[in-house]
Amino acid sequence: MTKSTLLQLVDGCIARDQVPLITEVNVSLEPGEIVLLTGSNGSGKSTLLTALSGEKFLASGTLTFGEISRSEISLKEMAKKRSLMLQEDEAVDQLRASDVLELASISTSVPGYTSEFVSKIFNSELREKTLGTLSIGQRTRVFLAAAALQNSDVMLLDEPTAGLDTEGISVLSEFLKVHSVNGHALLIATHEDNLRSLASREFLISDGKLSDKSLR
Amino acid sequence: MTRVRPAVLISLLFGLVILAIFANLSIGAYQVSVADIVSAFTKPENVNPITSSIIFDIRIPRLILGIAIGISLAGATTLMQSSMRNVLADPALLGLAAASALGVVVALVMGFDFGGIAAFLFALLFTVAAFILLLAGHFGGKRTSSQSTLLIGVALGAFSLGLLGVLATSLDNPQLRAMTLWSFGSLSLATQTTATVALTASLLGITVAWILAPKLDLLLLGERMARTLGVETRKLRMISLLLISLLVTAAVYGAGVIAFLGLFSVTVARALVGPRHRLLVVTGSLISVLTILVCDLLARSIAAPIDLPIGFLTSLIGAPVLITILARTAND
Repeated sequence: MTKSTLLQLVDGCIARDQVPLITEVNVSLEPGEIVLLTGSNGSGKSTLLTALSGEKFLASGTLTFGEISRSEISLKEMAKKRSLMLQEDEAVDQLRASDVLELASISTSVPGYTSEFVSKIFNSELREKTLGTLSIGQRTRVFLAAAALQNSDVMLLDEPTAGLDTEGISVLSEFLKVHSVNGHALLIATHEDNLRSLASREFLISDGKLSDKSLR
Repeated sequence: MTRVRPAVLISLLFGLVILAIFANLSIGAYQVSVADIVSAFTKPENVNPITSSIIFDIRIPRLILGIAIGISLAGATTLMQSSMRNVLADPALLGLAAASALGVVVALVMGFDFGGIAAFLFALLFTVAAFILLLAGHFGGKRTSSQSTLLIGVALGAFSLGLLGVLATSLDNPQLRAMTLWSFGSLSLATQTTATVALTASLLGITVAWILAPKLDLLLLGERMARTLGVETRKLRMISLLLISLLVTAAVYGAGVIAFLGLFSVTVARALVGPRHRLLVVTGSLISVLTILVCDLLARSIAAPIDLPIGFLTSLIGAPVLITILARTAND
């Protein structure tokens, strides 16, 4: 591992309900890179992303964020290291979209390009609406803005274009490009060509193993 | 439902609560004029001793106990609903209030005084134990289901009240009569001690809830996202558990099980101001205090001189309003 590696998993076993799903997982994410995560439905992409976020599903293996291992880091510190956006959020429907953004703004300052992205993806008409009244695409916009505002070193994104229109996708891919150039790492499970073209590597899950190939 | 401006709503509710406080001090089997109430505080020597005694020994403890119960039930219900992620959670519905009442009766059977600190501690202990049982059922299963939690709570409540009934038979007559009234929820047994203890516990509980509110707000984003944003959700739930138990005990120990008040006021408050905790706790408490004071006034006047258990009134008012709101939100 190079000194600047942002997230690393060595010899990981990803399991759900004690059943191993992916074994011998070796992953590292470096500053400035965008990595794709692919695999067929049910191969365990979301489970892997959750495990890499340090939450659960990691049956064995050593997970480190920067220089600190998972067992030594507090949740508060971890919040600065990685954000995770899964396809389905569990937020209560009565929350207003603006509440979500306010709650997710745990970072004291965000770079200008992030504020710009948030103002584009989270258009003002969303503000006063409650989550229960939003469409899938609008809800995706709210949680993308929330993940960006967390301003962590690594962003783990699961199908971040779900329900987004073409304008939304281009705003997102522009942000991801600038975000990576600014030293952040991104791991994205997606089928969207606009995002695929940004990636330099691909992690492919098949038959319970993870392979790593260069796209450049 | 459209949200209203919080500042306007809170000022309005606050004004109504002040009105209700004066009405409760003034109206009753013995009428006290507002002028006498004011003089009782400012120039006590000008007020006749009977009036003074009615105000300070009967009406004020009853009023304070009512306010303490209003605050605690709104606080406990808000915290239960967010930590269990169930907008139908309520201390009375899920059996915690009955368990707390059982604690008081056990203390009485063991020879401790009604309204004493021992009764409070027993009630607290029984509430914590019942809550742990309830949460074990809630989170213990492979999947959490609100229906099964609700049923566990109902069973827990029925069991506690059953045991309470059996134990109460070993009490002597005046105590038994008091307990019967009390198990329906009544402010008529208020004393200066119960009022003071309940108010202290409720203010303590609600202050801690206020401090925790920003973290509880993050819980609204879902367990996983809250943790991703750095909240130690398990620790937060443990603190909530203790806090809820303290608040439920504060509500039950002086006046018994008052049904529907928490669920009613928090449901109305959420529809008006949304789910963020600081606003919800303040609005819910004001609605709850207002409701209990109005119900108490009715309980003392509609069948005067009979003092009806207030739990009857809160059920009569709370249940229909609650059904209406739930039906409306279900259609949204």
